[in-house]
Amino acid sequence: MITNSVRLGVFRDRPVFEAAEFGEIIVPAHIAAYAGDGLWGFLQGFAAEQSRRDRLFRYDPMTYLLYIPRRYWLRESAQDDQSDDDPVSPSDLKPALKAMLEAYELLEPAVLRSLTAARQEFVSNGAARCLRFQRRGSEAATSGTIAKYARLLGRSVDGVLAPSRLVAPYTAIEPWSGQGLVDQIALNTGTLDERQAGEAVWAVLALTGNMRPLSPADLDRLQLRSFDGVALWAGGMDEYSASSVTLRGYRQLISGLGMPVWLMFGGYFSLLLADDGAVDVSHGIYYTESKLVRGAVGGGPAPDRYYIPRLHRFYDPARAFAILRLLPEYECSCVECGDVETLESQLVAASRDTALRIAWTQRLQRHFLAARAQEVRAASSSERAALLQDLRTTVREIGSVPATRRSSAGLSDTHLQSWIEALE
Amino acid sequence: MTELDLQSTVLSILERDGWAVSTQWRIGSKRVDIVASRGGEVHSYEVKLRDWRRGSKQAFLNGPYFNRCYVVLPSNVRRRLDSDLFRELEVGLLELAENGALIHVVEPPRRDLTPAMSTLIGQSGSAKA
Repeated sequence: MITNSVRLGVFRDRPVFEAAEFGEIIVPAHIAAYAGDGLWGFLQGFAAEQSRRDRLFRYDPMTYLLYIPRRYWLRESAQDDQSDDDPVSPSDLKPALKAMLEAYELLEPAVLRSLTAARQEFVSNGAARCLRFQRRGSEAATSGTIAKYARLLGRSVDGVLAPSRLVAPYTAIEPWSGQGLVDQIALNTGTLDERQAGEAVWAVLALTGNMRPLSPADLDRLQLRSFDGVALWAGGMDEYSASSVTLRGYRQLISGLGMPVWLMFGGYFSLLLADDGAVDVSHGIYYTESKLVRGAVGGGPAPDRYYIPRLHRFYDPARAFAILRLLPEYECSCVECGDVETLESQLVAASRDTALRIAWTQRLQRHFLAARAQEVRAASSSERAALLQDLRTTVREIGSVPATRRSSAGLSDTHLQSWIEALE
Repeated sequence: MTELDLQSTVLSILERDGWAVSTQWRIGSKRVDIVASRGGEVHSYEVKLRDWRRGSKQAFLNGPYFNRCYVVLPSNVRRRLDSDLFRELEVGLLELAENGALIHVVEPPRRDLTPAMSTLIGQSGSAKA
């Protein structure tokens, strides 16, 4: 049995979330800290639409941001010539990051002193603050908030929504002899000290590239077995471009943990790792199936893309529809997708009308989440051998398309071949 | 000559021949170099100085949206290109001769568009994208 969870990006995606079938929402802590009322309204709407209030969401503590160069915390206009050791003005910080630092009581050392000072404070006291922040759950700040969202949602809303589990603060570990490991050991110890009876708490293992399986000594030092599960973030590991060797190493890393693993960023390949210990796979509603640990927080709208379920990956829409013309049997039968001719004309229409573009994007997102839900059902109910056989069939069908047309449409089976080799 | 020069020359020829033209016409995040429409007929043109393979791929992706799709290259007697590739992809190839004429090297088959696409392209094909 494996589930998928979906990372919250922006509140305006609520209609897409509400229509979808998936496990939980992953709420980045900086969004929660910055827009607590907006989050509350978002979650209330989702809870009402899905008729559930339990196992609705959990937080990503986002504490790795304390370990990226501090200039990435700043508004673009303030990024020049900033070292990690200069004091910065709080007004130069990106607002959501500033709110998160305030929530974790790290704003003063982070802006008035240095990044090093903030990290020291974080390692000493961050676990308690991070867990406290999560335990508070999502609550409306004022009665005005309750009234506002009751009006917006057209129903009465109230109450605190609690996360399904707590997630330990984390940094990136690597090298295995470096400060990141020392800090993570301290954070895990602090988290376990703060854990209250009956609380489900998961550790996070964030790696920047090296995916060697953990030794028993690593597991002991990090006390991973004392947690209810491990959230794994293999930084930059992109299952669509990774070699079969890398993917095999990823499997070994997961199975070597010997406990329930939540893969924080992943796609269809990750869903096939239930036999290795994966129990949940997160992704965005459109993007974020892989993510670098040490990178800037991105911004701006991403280009549209269309998910082809049989190929288990996204493509630029025009390219995707060219592929569907080559392999018409790959057309999707979900309620969001018509035949390829309809999709093509709607793509053209959406390309020249802003209102249509928004509706089109949401439709592509709903299609993806429906396809992903179908993949989750298949991965949960089928033997891996049967799923592998499906992949082999797809490879054969791709091979039946004339090479020049395949190449011109950008249709390739490389990712499927790598997955098959990694799983055999 | 730059690609922009070549595109500008092609635009002039098409306009002289009575086509309504627009440039950088969007299909999602894709941009078509030139779209030209005349009498209910809509064609696409990808303009390249050298990279005809890339042009042929771009024109192939344009296929479903236009009656005919072309790649335009400057005339070059020394260039060795695979005209069979264009035929296989059902993409046309035009060369701009030194005398300013557009020479049809490979003529693609004409595709009928769906009524919905015809209406959409007809409405926007002559407008600036």
